[in-house]
Amino acid sequence: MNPGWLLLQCGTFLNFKIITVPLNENFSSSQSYATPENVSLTDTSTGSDGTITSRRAFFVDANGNYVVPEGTNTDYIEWDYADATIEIEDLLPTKDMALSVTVQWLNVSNAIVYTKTTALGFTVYNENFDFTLSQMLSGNSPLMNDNGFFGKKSLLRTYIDSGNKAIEIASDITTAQICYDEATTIRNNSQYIFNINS
Amino acid sequence: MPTVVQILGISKVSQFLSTTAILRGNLYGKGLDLNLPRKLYCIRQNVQYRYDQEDIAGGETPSAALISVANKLYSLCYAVGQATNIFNGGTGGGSVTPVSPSQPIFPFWIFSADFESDGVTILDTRFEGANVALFINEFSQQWLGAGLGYFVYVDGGIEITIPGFDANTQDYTIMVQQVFGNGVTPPAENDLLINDTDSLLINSIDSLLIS
Repeated sequence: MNPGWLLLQCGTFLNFKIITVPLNENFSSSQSYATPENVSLTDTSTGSDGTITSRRAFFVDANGNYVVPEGTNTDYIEWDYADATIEIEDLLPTKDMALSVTVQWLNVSNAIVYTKTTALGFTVYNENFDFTLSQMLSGNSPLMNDNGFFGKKSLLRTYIDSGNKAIEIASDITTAQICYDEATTIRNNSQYIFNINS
Repeated sequence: MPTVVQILGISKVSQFLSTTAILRGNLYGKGLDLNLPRKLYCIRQNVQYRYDQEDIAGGETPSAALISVANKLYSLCYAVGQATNIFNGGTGGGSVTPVSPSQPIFPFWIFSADFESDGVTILDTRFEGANVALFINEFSQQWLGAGLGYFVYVDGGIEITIPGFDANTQDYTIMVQQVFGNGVTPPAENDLLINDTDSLLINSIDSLLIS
């Protein structure tokens, strides 16, 4: 038998393929009431893909600008693939924001293999402030009847809820940001709106 | 004193109770605070927020601030005794076990596009184990049974046997209805009995005029 012919036949029949289980890409976000300026992302993907070596996270605000911590030279945050969770410090230094968050899963050549974009609302500043108002109520019950106190507190709640609904229902970060900014205005002018010394 | 999670549940019920009490109180809501449901909602949202943030469900101990605001929420609750009973499932009405009924299969519609490539066969799992009658809108405006020369059962469906029927060239709208029992047994021939035993056979070409 011709050895070359035998080799050809083996090559024909032994057709090996490397099969990888695709990644079902996903992530979640969280904030802590103690550090509202920080944002955490957690990779909640299922499956696996051996070609993935790194991740990047992009945060885009309602005006289309990239949001990164001060001093960051890129439009994105590098997210070490070995870490399931990353805490991005000082991402939101002053106020609540509605952001379009994109996470990219990259291979060794930095080519995008998977990408996932989600609209998210980060509302811990205003939630903390609303909770503070309730704390004041718990310490001073007549405050509830103070002129405009509950009306403004209710309005604050409405703006937070409305922003959240804009994201949940329509992924609309523009409308959500408008709502969050209205709530922020109340928070930043609280000394003129709420009788905090009562 | 109830726990934070109990207060969250009770305040939800209380918010509903206060809303209905105000509505039933007609003008001025029977003297109740018309803003009470909204107050309960707003402060409950604050408690819920900190409850989640402090991971109380995960076993953490609630902070003094959370307990303070939760107690304030509890103090605002309307009909707190009734709300607590309802929350605990003790009184306030029976429970209904939801039932998900199976979707009825019949009647259903089939169209020319549903036919196999031969234009006369329909394969559909809904035919399995059922006796059916067809109402072919473009044919006779009558319910047609199986074995009458209109269709026969085949493995996995039915086959239309009406001469000239072809779903590939004509648009049919067919309603399929389930029939129970054996249905009507068709006569072997279109016999017109003259007396008890003799019959007059009329075929499709000839006609009999009775005047």
